[in-house]
Amino acid sequence: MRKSIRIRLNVAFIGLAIGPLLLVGVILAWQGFATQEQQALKLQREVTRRVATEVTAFFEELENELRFIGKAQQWPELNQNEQYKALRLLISQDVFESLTLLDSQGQEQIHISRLSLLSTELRSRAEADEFVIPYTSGQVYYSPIYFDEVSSEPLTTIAIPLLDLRTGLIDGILVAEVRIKRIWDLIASLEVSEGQSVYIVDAQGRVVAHRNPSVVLRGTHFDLPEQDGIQLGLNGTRVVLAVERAHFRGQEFNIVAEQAVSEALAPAINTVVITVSLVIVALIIASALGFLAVRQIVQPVQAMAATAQAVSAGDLSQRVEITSQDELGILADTFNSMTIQLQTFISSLERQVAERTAQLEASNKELEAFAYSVSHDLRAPLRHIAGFADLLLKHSEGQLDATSLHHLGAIVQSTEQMGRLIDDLLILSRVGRAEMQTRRVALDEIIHKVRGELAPEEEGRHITWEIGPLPPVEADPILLRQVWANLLSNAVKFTAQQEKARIEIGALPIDTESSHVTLFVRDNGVGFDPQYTHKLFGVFQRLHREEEFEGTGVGLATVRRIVERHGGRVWAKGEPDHGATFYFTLRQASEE
Amino acid sequence: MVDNVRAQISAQNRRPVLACAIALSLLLTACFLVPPPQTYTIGVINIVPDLDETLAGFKEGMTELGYIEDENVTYLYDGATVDMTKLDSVAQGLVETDVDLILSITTPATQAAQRATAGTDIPVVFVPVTDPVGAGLVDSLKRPGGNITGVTFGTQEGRRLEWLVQVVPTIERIYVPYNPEDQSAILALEVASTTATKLDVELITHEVRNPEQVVDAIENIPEEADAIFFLPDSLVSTRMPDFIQAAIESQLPTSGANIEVVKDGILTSYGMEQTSSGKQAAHLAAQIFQGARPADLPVETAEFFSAVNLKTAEAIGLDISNEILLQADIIIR
Repeated sequence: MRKSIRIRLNVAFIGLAIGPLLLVGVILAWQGFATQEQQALKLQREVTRRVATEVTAFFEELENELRFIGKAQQWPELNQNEQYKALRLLISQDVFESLTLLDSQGQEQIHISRLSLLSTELRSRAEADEFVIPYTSGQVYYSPIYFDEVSSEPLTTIAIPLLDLRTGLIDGILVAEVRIKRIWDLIASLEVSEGQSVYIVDAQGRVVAHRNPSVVLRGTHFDLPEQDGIQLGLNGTRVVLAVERAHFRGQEFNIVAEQAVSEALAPAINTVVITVSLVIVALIIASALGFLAVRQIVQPVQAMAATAQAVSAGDLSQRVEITSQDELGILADTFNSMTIQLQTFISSLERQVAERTAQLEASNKELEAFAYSVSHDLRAPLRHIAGFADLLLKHSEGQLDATSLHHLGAIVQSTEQMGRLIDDLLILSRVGRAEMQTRRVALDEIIHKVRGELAPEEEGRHITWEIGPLPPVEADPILLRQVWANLLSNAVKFTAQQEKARIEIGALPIDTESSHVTLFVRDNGVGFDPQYTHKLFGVFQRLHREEEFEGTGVGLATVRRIVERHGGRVWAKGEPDHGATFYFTLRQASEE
Repeated sequence: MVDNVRAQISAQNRRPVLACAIALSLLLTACFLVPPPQTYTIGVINIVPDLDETLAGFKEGMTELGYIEDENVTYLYDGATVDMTKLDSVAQGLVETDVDLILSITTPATQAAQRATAGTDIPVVFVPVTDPVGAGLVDSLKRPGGNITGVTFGTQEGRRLEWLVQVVPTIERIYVPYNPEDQSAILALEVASTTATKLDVELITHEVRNPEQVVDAIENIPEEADAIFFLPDSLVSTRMPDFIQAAIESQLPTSGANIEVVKDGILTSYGMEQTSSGKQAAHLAAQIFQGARPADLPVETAEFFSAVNLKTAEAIGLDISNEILLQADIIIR
């Protein structure tokens, strides 16, 4: 996910570099193609026009020659031998395949061919087009192009009517078979561009002239396209093609000039190739530069993010190592100084806490030591007081008056009470100091023993005990016994006024998620006012008068201290005259 | 971690990027380069030394078309194979060298090439062959159909005889020495005979089958002969200079089968010119190199020219009229 910044920046960078270049390239290429196509087409048209002019001139010249010879045939001083000579001279030019002189009846008078000058086997052509058409119309006749049977070369017949100069009537026809092959030479001599070719297609779509004789000789056919432009050429490849439709004496010559698209549009194609190459090169350069630039931006950000993660995970020793002088550098410096401040602050806090804890622990120990010493040291003088008071009572039997005896009894009683108080305080003190040795403890056994110790107090009492199933716990058995002793003796004590006392011991249903078990002791004794609940577990806190229930006010404090040392907690619920319930939690014994 | 990354930036980045850019530039440059031009090997097989001009014309035509000798074309030619019995081994040698094309000059040479290339796709271009269809070289002139095409001539033999008679109208009997085993000669003789009948001249034919008989023919020109008409005949051609000398000594007009022999002293000819027919063949060869199949390349007909040698005319005391000179395409003065 974090890489998206890098990708977006890269895309933006490359896009900015390539976009305009691509746009310019496309426009240039498009324009180049259009212009080049027009130019190529123009070139083809120029060529076709030139060829059309030359082809027309070629036929005009032939016609003129034939007319001249035709007229020469009329010279009265020429005998047939001399006419024959004139025709032989004409045919030696190799332009004509044959020359024939017809009389006004269509009968051959002279017939010579390129390959034989012997005028033999003369026949009648009275029915042939080359006689009928010029004879009846008085116009020069051009036959459709046909191909020689042996050589496959294209030929056309020109027939010129010969006029009797005196009568103006047609008295003969000069028929010439013209070799279109001469036009091949004309086309072959054209200077053409690379990939260009020029050819002539007749009205039937046959190729009759091409610089490459094979094309004509094999009888190639070409369907002229409807319009000039990029079309399929003679070879079936795409070409820029132009057609000039030349008509000469009813004869149709379609002069076609074509140039392979690859050649004609070469400059435009080059532009495209160069543009594409430039775009690719630019893409690479932009990618490289973009990559570097983006790294320079993203790298510090990533480093900072990583450092921030480490710091947030608690490793305040991490630093962002960016030395650049830009905003990122400032950000890194600020981040680092922030981390340093945080580190300083946290370590000073920790130091303070440690100091305070040590102080507290020390004063706690002092207090406990003091309490212990006081309690311990008070016992000796107290024992002396009790001992001497007792001695005094024994020795003064019958010597002291009733008032003095009462006072002495009060002293003895008070020392006993004080002794109990000191004992309890010593227990409390010991509970706080004793070393804990926890193990798996079965509660039933402890409770049984404690109940046994309480038996004297139960004498003359009617108490119903309800003891539920209790799970084993993890605790120090000696301390735990003290807990039960205190709680159960309290329960027995505070139900003394009940006729039918009931004490319930049990465990709340075990919460599977918790490792602790909640135990309780419930009685139906005097209970307590809930507003004093917070005072219940304080040292020397009593909710009942000494006269009602004897006690030192240290028992529940001891319970709390033991439970808390075990990592549990203790609390109570109660109502005056409706009994009380004491809860405490202990760690469940692990399965063995 | 940060240090690692920083190290990567400096070391890892620049060099590969630069290398890639250079590699791609080179690749692009390579794309613009033209692939190396293809080279071709052309094997030549010929039996008449006098026809070497045809090869010169062929080479000239090929050069014009961009196939330049020793640049992209190599010609394998050890001179004319005068000994006809060695023709097949010469042709086979060319096929074994795996030439790209065989240029065969004359009908026997083309037939040898046909036999040697059978079963291969080596194209053969002949120039000239009188009757390629009759000689079994092609199916038809328009669609050769095989691996052979070329330039034909032969239809002009009648006109050649006419031209001789036109130049020397007094001729009545014409001596024709020929090898009856030469296909070209036989075909030409057929055409010439027809024309002779029309012209009302007599052909005195004389068969020669080996060099000795040729020598004999030179030494024994019939007394009654008014002229000598040479057919396209490989065997006879080998002794053409001797014939020319003998004809001049006997004051006899001559007609040769091609223009070149007129330059050597033959009085007249009407026929193909070797250089131009060689060029014509070059066009066919070029098309084959550009991918055309010989089967689809129509056999072309050679252009014909009329020629007359005025020096020979003078030597034999013959007066040539202006009318003849007007009709002649080539005049040797």
